[in-house]
Amino acid sequence: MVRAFKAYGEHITLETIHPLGTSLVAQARLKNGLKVILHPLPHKRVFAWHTWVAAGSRHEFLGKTGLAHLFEHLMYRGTSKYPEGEYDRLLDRRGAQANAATWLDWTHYHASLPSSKDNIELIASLEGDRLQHLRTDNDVLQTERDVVLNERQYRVDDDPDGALGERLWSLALPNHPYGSPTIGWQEDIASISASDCNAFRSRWYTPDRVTICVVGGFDLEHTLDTLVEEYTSFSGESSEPSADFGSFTAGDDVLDVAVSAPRLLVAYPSPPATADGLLALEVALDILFGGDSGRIVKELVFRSAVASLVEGFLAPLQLPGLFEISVSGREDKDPQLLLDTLNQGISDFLQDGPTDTEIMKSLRHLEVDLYRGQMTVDGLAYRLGHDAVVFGEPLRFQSLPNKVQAITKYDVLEAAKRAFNHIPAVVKAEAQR
Amino acid sequence: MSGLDWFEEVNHDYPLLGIQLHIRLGDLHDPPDKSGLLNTTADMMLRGAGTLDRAAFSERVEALGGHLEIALTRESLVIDGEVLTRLSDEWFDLLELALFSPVFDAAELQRYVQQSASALSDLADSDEALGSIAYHRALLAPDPKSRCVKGTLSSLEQLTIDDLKACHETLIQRDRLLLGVCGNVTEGVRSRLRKLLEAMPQGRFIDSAPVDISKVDAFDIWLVDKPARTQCQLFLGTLAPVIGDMAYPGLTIGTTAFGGMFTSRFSQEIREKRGWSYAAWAAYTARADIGWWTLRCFPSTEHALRTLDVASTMVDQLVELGLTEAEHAFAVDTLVASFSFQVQTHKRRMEDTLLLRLLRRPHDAMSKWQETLRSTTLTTANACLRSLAWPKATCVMVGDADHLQSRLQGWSRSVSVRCTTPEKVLADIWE
Repeated sequence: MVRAFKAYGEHITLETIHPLGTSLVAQARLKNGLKVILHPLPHKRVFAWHTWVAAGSRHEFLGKTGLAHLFEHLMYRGTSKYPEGEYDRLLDRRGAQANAATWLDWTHYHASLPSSKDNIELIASLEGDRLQHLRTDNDVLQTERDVVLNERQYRVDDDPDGALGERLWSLALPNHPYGSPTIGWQEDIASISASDCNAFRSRWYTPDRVTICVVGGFDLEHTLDTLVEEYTSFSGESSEPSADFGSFTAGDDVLDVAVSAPRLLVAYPSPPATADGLLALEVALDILFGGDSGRIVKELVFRSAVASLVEGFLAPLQLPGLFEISVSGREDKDPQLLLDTLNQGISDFLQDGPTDTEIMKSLRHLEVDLYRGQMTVDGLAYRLGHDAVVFGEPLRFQSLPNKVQAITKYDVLEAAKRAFNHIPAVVKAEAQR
Repeated sequence: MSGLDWFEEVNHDYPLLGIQLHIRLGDLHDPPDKSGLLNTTADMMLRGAGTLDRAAFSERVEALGGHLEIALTRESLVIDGEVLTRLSDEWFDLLELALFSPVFDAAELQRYVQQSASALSDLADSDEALGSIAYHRALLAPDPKSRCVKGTLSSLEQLTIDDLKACHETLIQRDRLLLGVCGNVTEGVRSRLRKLLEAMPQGRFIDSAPVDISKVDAFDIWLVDKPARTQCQLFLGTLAPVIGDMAYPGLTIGTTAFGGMFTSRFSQEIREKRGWSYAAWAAYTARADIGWWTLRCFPSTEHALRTLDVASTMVDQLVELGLTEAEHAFAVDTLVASFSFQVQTHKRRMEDTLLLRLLRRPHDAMSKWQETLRSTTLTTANACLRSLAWPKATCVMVGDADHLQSRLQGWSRSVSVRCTTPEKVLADIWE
């Protein structure tokens, strides 16, 4: 592997090589700053080509919420080399599985194809070309804006849970880039212009913010050659977004949405992904909300039977954000009762702490997830790329079992105490039927 | 697989074992007054077994880090599990308890019914889930298996412990079983599988007969009323050949070309050109005893009728004129190339093999699939498209019925437009 990189030393700098399974993972950087993660698995009949751009909805301009997501849609609308529809036509015909997602910190374009040199060349050319030469005129923008407005109806306006989630984040993080919905406020989406899109691309779609992760059946030297060919001319440099943002804010609200059973959404502040203690907090939340045997689930769903569903959700984010708890109540229960019962469950946990069995259960969950996530080239490419962008450490998952093994009951309890030592933000909806 | 046998996909890359166990339903289905019986019986098997009550049972399963789940499909009750191989002995102990010694506790059944009531109520909040239930019930009305497997609130309240025990006894029989294991399969695992199969009573399995669907004969529209919705969940479909029919490969190619990709006709017209719906696709579902063909999209209320009109005209043209040569070649290439993903993991290969057997397909249907596609000509594919029951069709629209109904007035194609409510859909009341 080292020898292969040496041949391209003029263009690509090999930074690290680590073993993973029966192969190696190489991290390298092009001269323009673009990061590359390569994990060849020669026996695989398919490969995944993932492009991560460290630009999500938190990088949007004031009053232009939804821009990052709309821009992701526009990335499929063509360039002069590959006019509209060509990207999908070329990939569909080769049996590719391709899509994209935008979230708070990043945008993720992913494609998986049957293994062949032709397919490597094609995907590199398509992805490299649209990163550099996207066409964003007003006609194209108008159709795609309608599609996005329709998507917003689907995900938020006509979906009570989507509407509640949107309200929770804006309530808890009012002067914070995570407080605006990634899909955007309707009036903002309607006002986005082609020049906004071009400005967004110039500012954030720069090589230093892009990570390409290739996993599966591919020839290393040929892929390096192709990367150099398609991405060397990619230029530009971004600057860090403003670090001036508001903090978590407690509050409560009742939302008037048509739900057949009461809903409760509760948010507490979360530390950034790279903070100490995040892993211990993940273990604590797994103990509280994981499966039917999670402490809070047992209490709310089975013992007191006030709820039909309880979930905890903590996503690793680059900035301090929030983690949320959602409760679907039984039809005849008051949302306040759901909140009181939830608070009692949390309070009991903070008093008793976790048991050895609960810690072990959590460790095993993590171990199974770890293996499961590596079984497809797509799953593995997602993991390497995501962890590179969010944690700055693509192989973070490899060290997780040892890190979790080292976590003590005291660590978990302390992490939970820190997390729940706040007045939360709360959004409720009462049953309307 | 002879009843004392199983299918294996071995891979020792990870110390993880996957198991899928299908208990074939055959001609079994919920009696009309006990809808939800099979699903309830399945769920209750994991709600206490042997000396363990529900809480202790789930604690034990989840402490192993894997999962043990039961779900009901049209053809089978599927027990799906995954566990670290080093912990598989304990996992098998729990599986055997669930299969052979479920407690069927009366208080737990009552709790299950209450929880199901909430789950049904939650379904009413999801327009997509609600539309799916209404669509399948309306399109496949004469078929008893088209009822919502979760049952209705009133049918669940009628279920007794004796009903569950009788249902369980009928289900747990070796002749009904299809078993597959994948991943880190060891001799210890094989020994447990043999033990499990030997413990099963022999039983007698009767397969299901093709469904009589002759009653579906008009272009009917059902509106499921969701006042103040800005969008309409649209389901439009018709009956189609079963999986064993000669038309299956041709119709698969036709469906892919028409609505299976971003570049397909339907997606291009509705999403790319007009921006009416974030997603627009076609799907062909073919089972052993019944098949159906569906268009899906979710336009705004404003665009709902125009979308329905464009979609219907497009299907007219598809059935009458078929695919073009270029569309046919494109869809075949796509399907042949994407086969690599179908066989990518050992779990997927095991699941697909079991499914083929469940649907009574030849054992080499999967390995010959690419060849079958390549040999299906344009003429054949177009002839297969004419085997759709179109223009007899069923349409379900979930949205603001007032607005939708006024737009549908006078639409030439519809034979009848009927309004219903989410509550009636979930209560399985169609009048």
